[in-house]
Amino acid sequence: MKRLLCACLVTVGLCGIVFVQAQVQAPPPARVGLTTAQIEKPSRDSWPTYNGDYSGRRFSTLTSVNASNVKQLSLGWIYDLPAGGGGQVKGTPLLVDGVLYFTNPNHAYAVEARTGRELWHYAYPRSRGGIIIGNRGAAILGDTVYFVTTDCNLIALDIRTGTEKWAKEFCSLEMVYYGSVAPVVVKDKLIFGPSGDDLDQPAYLDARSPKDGELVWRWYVTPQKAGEAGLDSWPNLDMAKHGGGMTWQPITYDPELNLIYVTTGNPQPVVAYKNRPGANLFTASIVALNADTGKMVWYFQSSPNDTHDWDATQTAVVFDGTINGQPRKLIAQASRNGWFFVLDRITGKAIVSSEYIKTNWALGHEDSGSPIPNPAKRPQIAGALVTPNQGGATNWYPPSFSPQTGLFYVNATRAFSVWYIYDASDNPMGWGGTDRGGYSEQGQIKAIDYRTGQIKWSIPRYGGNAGLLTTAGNVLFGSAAGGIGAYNATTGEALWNARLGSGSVTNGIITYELDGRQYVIAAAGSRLVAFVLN
Amino acid sequence: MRTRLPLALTVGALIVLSVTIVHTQGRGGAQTTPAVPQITNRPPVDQAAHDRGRTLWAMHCVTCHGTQARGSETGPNIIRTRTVNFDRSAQQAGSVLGPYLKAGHSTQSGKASASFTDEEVVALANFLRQRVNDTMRGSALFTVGDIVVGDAKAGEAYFNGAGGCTACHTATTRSLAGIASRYSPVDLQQRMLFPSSGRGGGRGGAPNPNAVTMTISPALTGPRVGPVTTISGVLVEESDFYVTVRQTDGTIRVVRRAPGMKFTKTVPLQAHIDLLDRITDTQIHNLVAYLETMK
Repeated sequence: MKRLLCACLVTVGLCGIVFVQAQVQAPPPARVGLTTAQIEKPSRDSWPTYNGDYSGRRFSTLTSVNASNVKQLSLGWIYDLPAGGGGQVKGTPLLVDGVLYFTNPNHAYAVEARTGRELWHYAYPRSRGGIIIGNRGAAILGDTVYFVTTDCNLIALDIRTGTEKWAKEFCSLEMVYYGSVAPVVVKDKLIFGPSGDDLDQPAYLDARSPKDGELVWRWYVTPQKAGEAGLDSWPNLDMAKHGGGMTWQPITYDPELNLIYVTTGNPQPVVAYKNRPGANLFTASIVALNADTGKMVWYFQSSPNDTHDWDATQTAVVFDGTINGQPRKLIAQASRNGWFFVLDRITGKAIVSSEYIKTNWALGHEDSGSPIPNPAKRPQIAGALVTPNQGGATNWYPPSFSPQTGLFYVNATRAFSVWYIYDASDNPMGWGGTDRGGYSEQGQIKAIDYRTGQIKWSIPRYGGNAGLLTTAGNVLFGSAAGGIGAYNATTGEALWNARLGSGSVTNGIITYELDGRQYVIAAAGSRLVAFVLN
Repeated sequence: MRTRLPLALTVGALIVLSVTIVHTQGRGGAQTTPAVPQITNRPPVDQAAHDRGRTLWAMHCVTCHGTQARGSETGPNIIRTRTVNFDRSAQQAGSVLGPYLKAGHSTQSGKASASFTDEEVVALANFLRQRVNDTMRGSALFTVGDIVVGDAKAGEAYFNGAGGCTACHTATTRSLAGIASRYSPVDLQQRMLFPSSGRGGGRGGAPNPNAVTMTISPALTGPRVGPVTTISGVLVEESDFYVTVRQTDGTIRVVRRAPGMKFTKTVPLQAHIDLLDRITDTQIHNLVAYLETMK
């Protein structure tokens, strides 16, 4: 690779040719790509899947950078995306064999993890449309990088060159779906679903073959046939069949239980609710699926009969803990509706159900742990003042859980807005209402005790919404004013800030170790920045 | 779909082809991508064709599918069907609906659906496009309804009593006289609940009486500035380690947080913010009704 770099410097004009010659003529590296075993037990020098591992904890065991020395972090490198390269990075990079792979809508990138040098950039040339709002990232298996396009295609790229191998449509752009989620490899399958909540359509989660993208199984979020579970929570089959519940986020997974945990979105029609009385299962829920068959094992509904666009697609974080002195297999979610849930991940039974911000829309919770919506706080023609607002108490940005501190960390916002019904007919469709205006309190990073749901501490978050990361060095990384910040994971004390010159962090922060050095990687806008102890 | 590379390609050909790929995928590559017809959430509607379609709809379709194509007791909702939405997404309106109707579909008038002319199919397709577009986020149809539903008398009592509004709003200070003539009811409601503090007032700009200010005392400063016991100004930015304010003379001051410093934030609109946790929706509607009397 050094020879290649020299050649590029000698003559820029021949760089592409030399690069290609190197790709064609050089023998493949001894180790290229990723195995399922490497995904299941990530090494220190990898971040092989969206959340770093299947748990969704975004907790790294690395300790070189720790609460004592994090303030000495310095710039490693900067990579600025090209103009027209997809805009703001909202996804999480993967790290495999010393190369970072990340995506933007209809773009994929490979960048050297040590130097920030671009290896390849794939620009999807055939997009027919779809909403360009963000892309969560890629999946890697073997020598193939997978990501989804806005126009509903699963793309397979050669990991060495970024050359497209094949494309497979997995949803219908004509039916107003689009693609944004990061696929996750589970054994011999790619697990992911579509995005979109404009036309009233059913959501689903797919298992597809990494070889060609063919469908292996599909789980529909809402009932599609008479007799299916959950149908009695809808007024009729027609409404259920178009009931939405998009699977906007990458799944988490417990290999031992062989359960995939998928979080589901809001029901359709989105805000105008008159024609869908009932809980609207299995929208706005955490659902456990058998990884081999896609059959539902249990569900927990975070927002029954949601009327505020509060999808419950925030990461369902898998961890083991102790409840009343007993070891338990747990799963937790800080949901967009302002509630925090801890469930038994074998059964789905709630252990903790409490607010992590003060809301005004619920009348307590059922014995099941699901909040009870206050009918008076549903959207009204003349308006209803509600907190959270449509953006939610949190949203897509990943939380973190540290097994060292026993704390669940979430970017939280308490904001008010007024919710209106625009389509007051008995049969509203699509977006027959929304919220307007609002006031937002100072954003916070909150640390929640998973055993009780109590807020252990809450600190101002001066940066924007971004993913969190905790490490065994007792550091919590997140956004800060105009950049990135580090905090003591036990106390919340601010330890370090760095301005990034392109705004505050916009994606999921990751860390890894190469050559004995720990890197911290974050994106801000269309810039990727690496920090390291130099 | 990009064609896979045939195995028979020579290495030389591979190089040439790959160079092309590198060039088209490299920096600025997105600009070289040939234009692909785009499908949008709200495709354009030919209004004249739409209006002709509405007439046809009334004659042949409305009894079963309803005025908005959302169905009736005798026919299904077709807003979410593949035929309607694939046609809606097609470059040529009617290109999917036409073959569907040619295959035969009952009509309320008894007219054979296969006998619709091409122009009639395009007209119906545009009518249906608009029906689906009307359900999309941001549709022009989606506007706030009648929000003046409260009791003005009760609103006046709240204004003068529990609401605490007269602490700031009197006939002579921050008067609201004529406010209903300046804002629509929904804007009035929004401004009452969420009055914007606005931007902090830029350098040389007029001071904003609603801007959040910060007073820092004692503020330790560097030797060039000299000892200053108190700094105050419009809050520009807070971070974990610094507070930035714009002083009355327009200068920006950055103060590093340090133990012993006291930071006092003043929010002129705090009374409105405090209201959010205690005002009920009924009180909001009553207040709006009362404010509406202030023409």
